Amino acid sequence: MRQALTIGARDLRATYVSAFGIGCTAAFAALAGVLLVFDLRGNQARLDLWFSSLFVALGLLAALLAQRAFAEEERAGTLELLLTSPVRFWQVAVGKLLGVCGVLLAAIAATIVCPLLVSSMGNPDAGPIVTGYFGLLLVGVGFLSVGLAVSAATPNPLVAAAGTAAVLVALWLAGVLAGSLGGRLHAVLQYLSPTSHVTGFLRGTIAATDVAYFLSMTLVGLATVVVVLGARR
Amino acid sequence: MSRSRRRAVLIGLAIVVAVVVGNVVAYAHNAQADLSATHHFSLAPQTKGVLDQVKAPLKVTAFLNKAGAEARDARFLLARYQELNHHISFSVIDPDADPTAARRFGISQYSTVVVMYKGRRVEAPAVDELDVSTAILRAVRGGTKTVCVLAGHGEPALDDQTGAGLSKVGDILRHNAYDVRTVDLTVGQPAVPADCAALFDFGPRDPFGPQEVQAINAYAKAAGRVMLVTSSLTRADPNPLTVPWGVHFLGGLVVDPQRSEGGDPTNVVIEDLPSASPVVDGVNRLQFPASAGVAVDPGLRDGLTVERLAVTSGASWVESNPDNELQFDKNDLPGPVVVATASDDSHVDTPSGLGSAAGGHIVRTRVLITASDTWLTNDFLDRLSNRRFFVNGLAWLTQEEQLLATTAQVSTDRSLPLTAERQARILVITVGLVPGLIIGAGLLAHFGWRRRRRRA
Amino acid sequence: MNKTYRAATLAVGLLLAACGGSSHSGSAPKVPEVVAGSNWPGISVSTATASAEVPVDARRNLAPLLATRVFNRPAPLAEYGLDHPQATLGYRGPGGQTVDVDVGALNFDRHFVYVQRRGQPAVYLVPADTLRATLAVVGIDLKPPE
Repeated sequence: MRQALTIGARDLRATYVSAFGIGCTAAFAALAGVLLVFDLRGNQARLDLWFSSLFVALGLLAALLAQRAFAEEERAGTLELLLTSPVRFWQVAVGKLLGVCGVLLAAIAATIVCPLLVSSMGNPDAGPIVTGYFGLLLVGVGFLSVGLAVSAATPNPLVAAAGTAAVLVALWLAGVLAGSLGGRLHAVLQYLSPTSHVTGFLRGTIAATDVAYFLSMTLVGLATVVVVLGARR
Repeated sequence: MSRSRRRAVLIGLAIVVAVVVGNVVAYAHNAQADLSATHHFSLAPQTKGVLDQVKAPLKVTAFLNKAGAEARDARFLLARYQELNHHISFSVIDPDADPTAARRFGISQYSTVVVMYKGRRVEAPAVDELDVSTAILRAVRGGTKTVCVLAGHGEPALDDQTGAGLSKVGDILRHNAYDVRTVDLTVGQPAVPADCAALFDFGPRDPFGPQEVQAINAYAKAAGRVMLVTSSLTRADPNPLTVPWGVHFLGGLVVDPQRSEGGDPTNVVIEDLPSASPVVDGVNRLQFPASAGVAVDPGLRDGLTVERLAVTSGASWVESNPDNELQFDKNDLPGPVVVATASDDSHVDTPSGLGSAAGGHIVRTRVLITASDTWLTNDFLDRLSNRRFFVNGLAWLTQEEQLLATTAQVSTDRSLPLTAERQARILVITVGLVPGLIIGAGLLAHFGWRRRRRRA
Repeated sequence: MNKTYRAATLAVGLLLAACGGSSHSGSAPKVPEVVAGSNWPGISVSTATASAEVPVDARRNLAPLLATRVFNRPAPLAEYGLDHPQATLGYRGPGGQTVDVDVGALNFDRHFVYVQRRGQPAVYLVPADTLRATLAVVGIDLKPPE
């Protein structure tokens, strides 16, 4: 685990103290502010619409952050070194995830000013805010894992970003398709879609199925990274 | 296959199995923690019981302004119903945006909910747990039951919203899909209608006539279900109605200095609920102000059982002279005192009395008696477990297990008019200040790092 | 400052500027207006069989003609009774410009009427009380809800 933490810390320093990391964090915070103004137009001190918009923005952020995880190493010529070093692939995968999660955490933390502002002006229900942030972290880590898996498979950051977006859109489409089907297929496809698993966080609840879903997404993403790295070596 | 590859495949399989099993278990248990202030989206156990009865596709359609917060809450709530029973599907339709659908469903008011189940249609007036669950209960049941409420003896009215009224009882009956019919046996030929699923007498003050007593007893004997809520304040003698079911009404006024509320020893709190009857399921304590006492007959006939539902403490007594003093003396009856009973009489009814082998059927009478009537009034129904006790009693009498004891939830005002000033403030801080600070911090870190490198 | 930083700062700055601009153009939600402004010297109401000028005292509610809701992507017009409008309001401005507003059916609870500004796709919901007296002039009775 120490190697994973070392890799994570190194990546965090490299990503976060760069223009890219700072820019992503600042842009996400700004976007959250703009979304807040639009989503408060119902004249209610409620943040469920705002969180649902942020979940979509998280997909974009995950694609952007994860694209550089392996592609950047490959471009700098350090990926070979990493893959041939006495570090296990799962440590690489976990370390990479920890690194980008640091940026994710900073970006999400930068949005906290929004519910604080709403609280200063109105009387929002604190429960959905807590579960909304819990959901943002869980969903963000899940999406990042998907992004890392795609990033590990291609040397091109642009392809990695597009691929991540494509996977997330495909999962979303599963939910759309489920609407026109019935029976077990409907239930399975609906379960596969992330949108059916964020409703709980928006309304102030934390459901076991939703936590299990996003933890599974993270696990499968990391496992895919390990498999892809193994295949590349 | 090499060993490492085999290991990798096994680990991969293990991960897949763990993921599938984890999700299946989570899906099956459907556990959730509700952090919202009103716990609107955690459904009551009674609602879950109602949902367990849904065995075929059930569609809930809510007609709401889609742009409003109410529509979002409706989706959240109905999604929870769907999570608990996958036979349930829902949709939220904006009747203004989709007037054809509104016409097809015959909708004339916002917030109407239509429940369709096995070709049956039931409507609810609002999208909240109480109304939606009631509609589902009614749809699953396939009809409404009629309960009859006696009038003509000074009983409080079911639409009386004063503290001494019974409007909350009326609400419970309506929300549990009962049609309420008022029956006055003091006029005309007294007979309790045969389609009464239960007969209630809530707090009579005036005496019953002999023909009334006959009519009520005849109804009870013919597999009737009776709830008699009386008290020491009545001028009626309930014994002709209670004795056939093994219970004697003692009258008097129960005094319990050890378990009473607000310094009034006649405002009795019941903590002894010795019965295993479903009437006291989930009931912890009761508040029975101005209660008389009842006694259970020692020798009951075959087939008749009487449960002592609520008993006062050992320090209590039945005061025989409450107008003059509240001190125990030799004329008073020492406690513990029974103040509520449930009689269940089952016997076989055969055409010529030849016994069950001759093809008779079982006739079951249930009678619930309480010696206080104040506990049911608007002022007291929501004290301690009084409401639960009434709902359980209703369920026991009409043999409906899943009734809803939840009260309507009060929603908090969360309005926040988004004025131009507020909007500007949000944008300046979130789009200007915060990103500016982040960039500034990044720049500081960058230049600080470069200076450290130069020095090095 | 290196190029990357300059580029990043510029990008964020542009984003801030864009959002700052939007803060002035944006405001609290406005009431939708079917017909804006109160300076309409001539307002008429017509049906297939009748036509009349709207009395001056009734024009107060019609100019501006305010709606409670607007549907920017409405369903087929037949759903709102706008395929065969029951009446048309004709606005004549001081410079000779004209605006026609088609009046459709009552909504599901009979408190509102669907209207559409001719030539525009949006459908509006206008309180029935606003139009009741005007439509009565040409013999249309918007029955209030029971």
